[in-house]
Amino acid sequence: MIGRNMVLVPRFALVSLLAAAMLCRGAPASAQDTRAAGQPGGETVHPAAPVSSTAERIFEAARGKLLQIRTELAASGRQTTLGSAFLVDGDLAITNYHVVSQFVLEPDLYRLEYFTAGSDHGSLQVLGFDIADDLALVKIDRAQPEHFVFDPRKLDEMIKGEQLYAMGNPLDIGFAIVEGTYNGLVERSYTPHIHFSGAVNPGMSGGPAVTSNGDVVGINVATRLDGELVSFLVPAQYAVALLGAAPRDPPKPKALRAELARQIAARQTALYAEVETAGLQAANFGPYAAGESKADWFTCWGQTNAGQAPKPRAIVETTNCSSESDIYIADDLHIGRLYVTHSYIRSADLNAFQFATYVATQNGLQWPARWREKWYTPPRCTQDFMRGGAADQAPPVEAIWCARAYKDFPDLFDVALTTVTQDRGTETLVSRLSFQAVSYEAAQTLGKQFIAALRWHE
Amino acid sequence: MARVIWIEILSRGGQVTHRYRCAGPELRIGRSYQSDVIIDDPAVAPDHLRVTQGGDGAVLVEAAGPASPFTIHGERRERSLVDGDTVLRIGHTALRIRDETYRVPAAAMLVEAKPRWIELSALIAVALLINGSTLWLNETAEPKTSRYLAGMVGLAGGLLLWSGLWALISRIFGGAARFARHLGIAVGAFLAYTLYSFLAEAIAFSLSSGTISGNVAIGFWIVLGIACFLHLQVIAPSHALLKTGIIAVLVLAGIAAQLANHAEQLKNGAQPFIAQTTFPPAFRLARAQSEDQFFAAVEGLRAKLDADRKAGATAP
Repeated sequence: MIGRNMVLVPRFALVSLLAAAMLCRGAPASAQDTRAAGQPGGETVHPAAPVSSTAERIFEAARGKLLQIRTELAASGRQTTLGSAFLVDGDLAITNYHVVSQFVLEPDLYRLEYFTAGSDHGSLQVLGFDIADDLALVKIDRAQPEHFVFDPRKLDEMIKGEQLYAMGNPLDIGFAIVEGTYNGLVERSYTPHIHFSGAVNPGMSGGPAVTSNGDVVGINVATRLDGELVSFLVPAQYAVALLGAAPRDPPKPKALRAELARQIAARQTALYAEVETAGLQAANFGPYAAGESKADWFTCWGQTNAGQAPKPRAIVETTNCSSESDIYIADDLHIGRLYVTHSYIRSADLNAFQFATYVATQNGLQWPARWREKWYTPPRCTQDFMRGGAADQAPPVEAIWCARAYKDFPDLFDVALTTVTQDRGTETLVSRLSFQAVSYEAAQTLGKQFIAALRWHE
Repeated sequence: MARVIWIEILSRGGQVTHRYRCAGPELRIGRSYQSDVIIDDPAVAPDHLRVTQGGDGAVLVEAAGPASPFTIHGERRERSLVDGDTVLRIGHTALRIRDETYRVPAAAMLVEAKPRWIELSALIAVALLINGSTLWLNETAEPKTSRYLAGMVGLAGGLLLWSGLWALISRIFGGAARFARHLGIAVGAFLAYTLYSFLAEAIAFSLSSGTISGNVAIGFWIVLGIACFLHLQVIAPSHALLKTGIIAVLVLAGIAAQLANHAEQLKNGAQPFIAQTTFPPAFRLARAQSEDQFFAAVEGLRAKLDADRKAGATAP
């Protein structure tokens, strides 16, 4: 459930261009970096100012450093998505990867343009991105006099409740500043996100969230639709790292695409290595024990049909675990979420035949995302009757392995492994493990872990 | 001595629809009331044919005028000697001429006495019972009487409708409805398919074979084809080879359509063939594979996926 309603804010991602100097961490010192020092917008103290005047002061200082980024159709110049960005150094600005993703994926179809608060505009180019943290570094066609600086504190030095100010151009109605609260890092999330309690709206993606000094602590990235004012920021340290690592000359579109594939593979390899290292812990379901990931960014939910009326003829207790680890690649492609589902089913008054029919309705192959011909090859399956362990320890299972390859990313697959225990006529455990964007080796290693964990628990 | 001559009017299927007894050795056939045999066919001339039997028994047919020829095997004639098996065509009417010396074969064995209603009823009862049991075995929700009744009525109605249509066709083209025989074929086909699909699915399950499971439906087309062939044979037991050919083509077309449909759905992300676990574990025949054997097959899948990727890559 968690994350299902979390949306990125791309359609109108508003990047406020915060001209903060990036020198703080790991960024190569460049001539412009010195400009960060003595940056206005922070050190001036207005002692008795009421709250609203802080926002007023911050926004005044930030105005010239905020940008709106528009993705436009190359052919007609019509805008397709909007986002925000903030200046970090001369002509360099940080935004979200998802704000510029259309251009990165289809450089022939789209082009990018920026607008300042003063209605100045020009073209921009993508220098690099960090797909895992949804950040991109862009270069605009002329250097601007001001830029944002990053907050030098580490996140653990910040305390919950600190006032933050998110900026951007929500819904294309004009640059805005939003007051909110820092609430620490989001728990149970593989991707580190700051929980910001404030109204981040579509169009603000890529905009900065700053402290009362005007220093950037995060970048607006997403919001939860099933909550109120539950928004997320990418911690600024990743933007600092990207600023340090990205080239200063715009790579060719083909190179950007290759870089995308490389980053996806690297990110996914790291993710699945962590899943593998974390290992599985046994959870009991009736007479069976099965594996659940020990990684702390998994969230499990249980449900049962036992309370239904009329009384169900087979009782199903399902545990759905999914990881908060997906990343945005394109509007129709989010990858990296893992699912582990166990359904323990026992007959109330069905005979063995009826029960088998009932079970068959539970074990259909469900891909974790909608299938899209654009991204995936058609799925293929292999299945067999197998026994994972010794005959006195593990039940025989029907094992079904289905996989599809990503057309554009080498050695990445979606894999679903389903097992249905086959030792009893009126009782079974249907388990499914689903991976998105996994290497075939990692999928097999994890699949074996999963099968090894399936046993009788007495 | 003049013999008795029989003029037989035939249906399109070659069955006799009318038979006229005439005194030889000469007679006329046409639409007019001067004819010995009157044919109500607007394409027949008032005085169309003259039939003469010579002293040796040979029958000569002559067109009565230039506007009234006849055809034999599609060949236009104005005069021809015919025997008792020659079919002549005038206008839209087919006829043949036999005299009293024509030899008919000896009586055939009595194959079809009365329809075997008792056996047929038993067969229908078995079909309904099997249908009911299938419904019961697949019953996973609250049992509802209406579901069973609807199932029974649906099956019975379907079989009756199917046989009724064939009987109607039979009546039109073959002269007799033969409802009982059509019903027998329909019930037999239902039973055969039910038994077949149960066995095929049980085998697919017991061997964990998605391939078998995905192709069970091919049997449906074959059973349907065989049933149609038998229905056609009941209507008129001729041209068996031609019928077999046509039905085989239709069956193959049906199978091809179904496979193509699945292949296209698969391209759009449909689930690949998987043997469903619709049988109790006791039906397992295959030995459980070891983990290594299973993952060897998994590894084998990879080459196919990589080939798919190569074939479908959109990026340069």
